[in-house]
Amino acid sequence: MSTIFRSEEMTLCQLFLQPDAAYACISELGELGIVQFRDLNPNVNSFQRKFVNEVRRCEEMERKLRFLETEIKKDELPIYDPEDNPDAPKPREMIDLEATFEKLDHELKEINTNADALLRNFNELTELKHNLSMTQAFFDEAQANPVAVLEDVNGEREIELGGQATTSVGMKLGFITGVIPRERMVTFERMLWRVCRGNVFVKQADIPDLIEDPLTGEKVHKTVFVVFFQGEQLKNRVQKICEGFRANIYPCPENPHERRELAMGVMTRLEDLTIVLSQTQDHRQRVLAASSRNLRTWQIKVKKIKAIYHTMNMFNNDVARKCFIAECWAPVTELDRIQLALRKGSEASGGGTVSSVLNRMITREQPPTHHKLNKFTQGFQNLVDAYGVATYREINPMPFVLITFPFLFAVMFELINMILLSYPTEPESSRTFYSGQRGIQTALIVLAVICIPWMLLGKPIYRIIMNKRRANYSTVTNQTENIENENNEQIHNTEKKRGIVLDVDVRDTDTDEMLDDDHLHQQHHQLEVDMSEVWVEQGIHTIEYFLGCISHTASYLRLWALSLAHAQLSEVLWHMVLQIGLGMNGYVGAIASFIVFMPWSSLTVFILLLMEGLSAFLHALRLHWVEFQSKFYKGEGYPFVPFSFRLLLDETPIEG
Amino acid sequence: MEKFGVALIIFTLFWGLIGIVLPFLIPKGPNKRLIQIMLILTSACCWLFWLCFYLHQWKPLFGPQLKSTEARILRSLWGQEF
Repeated sequence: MSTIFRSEEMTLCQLFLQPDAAYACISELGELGIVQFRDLNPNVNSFQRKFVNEVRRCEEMERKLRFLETEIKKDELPIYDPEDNPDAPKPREMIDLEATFEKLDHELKEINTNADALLRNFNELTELKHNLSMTQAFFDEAQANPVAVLEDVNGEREIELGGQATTSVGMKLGFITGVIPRERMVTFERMLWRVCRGNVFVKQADIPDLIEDPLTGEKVHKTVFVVFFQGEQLKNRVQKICEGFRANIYPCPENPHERRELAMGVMTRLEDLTIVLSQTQDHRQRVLAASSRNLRTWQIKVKKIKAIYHTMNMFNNDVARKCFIAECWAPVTELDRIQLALRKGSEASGGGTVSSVLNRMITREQPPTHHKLNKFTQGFQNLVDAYGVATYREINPMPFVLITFPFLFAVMFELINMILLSYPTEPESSRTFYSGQRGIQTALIVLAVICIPWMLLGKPIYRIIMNKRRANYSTVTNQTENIENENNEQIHNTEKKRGIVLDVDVRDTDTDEMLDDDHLHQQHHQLEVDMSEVWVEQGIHTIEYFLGCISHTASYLRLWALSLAHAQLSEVLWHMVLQIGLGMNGYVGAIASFIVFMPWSSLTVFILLLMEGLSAFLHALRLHWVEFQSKFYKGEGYPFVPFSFRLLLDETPIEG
Repeated sequence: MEKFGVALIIFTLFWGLIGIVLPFLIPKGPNKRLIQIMLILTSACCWLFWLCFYLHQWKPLFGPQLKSTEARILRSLWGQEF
């Protein structure tokens, strides 16, 4: 049960999967989440992989689902989370899902375009309605006192021209009515004035409500205008200007009867359109509500399918034996569960055929580092991993950090509050603080001195002994084997006796496993190193360690420094702030305390808790990383990232 | 002197109980090793911590620092010997 001290034992496995069963087996392994697949096709472009079409289909489905989600969010409908974890659907179901999504997509797009067209129509009719009602006012006025209007017209012309007034009683004026945004009205008038050289007459009236613009869909203030002119040329010019200013021109019949009829027709059409629009919206809501219930499930399913096909793209397709070959890292203790999952997958996809096979491989490669963690230990493991992931089977500092980190944090944060600190009056170093101190001091120094030869010599001596043992073993077995390779063997043996064979795979040396003779000869990573290099390396390490001892010991003084700072800060806050309030007597004191409490508490929170807390955290972490972990921790491993649906769904959170 | 020794023994026994005896009594489970380490480290840290403070108060490096006003108050309250 010493699995918390170092990484779990990992083994490289080979899986032979039948093509029909492959999908189901991978699905089961994904649910289990304890194998890490290796990419057996690293040089293959992602567009040339076997299952690129399936992946494309999945991405298409995801796109449709995203569109669906935006539409649902636009209408602010709630999206339901699935209670249980939906399984990855079978390949046949994928086609059904695709069809469903296609239908929904199509339907929704249709509804949207229809709704847009209807809305535009509705807005135009609304503008027309306002137009008619406003111009009605003009023409009524004109009917009531035609002379006044014409005089008005004349008057204006007189003013502007300053010239002769020509009577235009009885002359027919053409007109154009339209609607324009209010901001543009002034420039519009001015432009009309300039272009038509003052020969037009504009009347305008603001529409009081905000109406939706048919094109942009925004609600703006608009104005109804009537432009009176004479002649064809002016009409063209006015029309062009209206187009330029993007004013909506609406035809208005001159005859009051026709106008009234048109107005009534517009009203009825508006009513009809409102009904149709609301029906369209209802339909849209219904469609979206129905799909919102299943949206999350679909998203999870599609994610799983995509993950499975991505994994299957990493496999080697053995055409001769008609199966898929996969390589994966797995913990040794979980091999049974993996076998079970494979069997389940094979049965699920219609057993009868040969079930999938798991084959353990022996390799020299460094496996990934896998620690068994729970929520509590995961946090501290992250702190350690930030410095470096543990080398495979290296000791994991996390169990110790679990206690020492909170301890050091507490020391820096609180403790010297208990002791009033200031400089001692006469530091006599010759005074012994307690009897036997001299003895203890000498003992500590002797210990430190012993460390030097211990560190310097320990590793080389250990390696010499190990290699002697290995050399003896291999010479014995070599002599009992091929006599043809005698020359090679002799060279091999003499080389071994001269130098030291350093094995990069530390595991074998430490656990003293006797290697298979085949593997010894097949090693690619075997190095032959001179003894002198080992001595130099050890020398460097010893010096580093010795100097480190002194500097690290001094570094622990930061515990004192930080707690002192903390104590002083809290003292300051106490004296300067709170005491003022608490010092006063009577009712004034009570009120003063109340007032003073706010700045005191906010300063306390921000300075003492947050800032000092951050500082203590940082220094405790630094003490762990530098003063503790640098002494022994290499941290050159890589983490174990299993193929797990749970991890996949957690890291890309599907938020509502 | 005896009180010093007695207190020392009591606290050492207390933390020793937690750190040395208790780990053997942890029932088997997935977290047995982890709990054992936690107990040992915690008791070691706490005992050492307590020891430092206790020894410091037994043979202090310096006494309480009094301001002159406080010293005068004490002298008036407790008599001229102080």
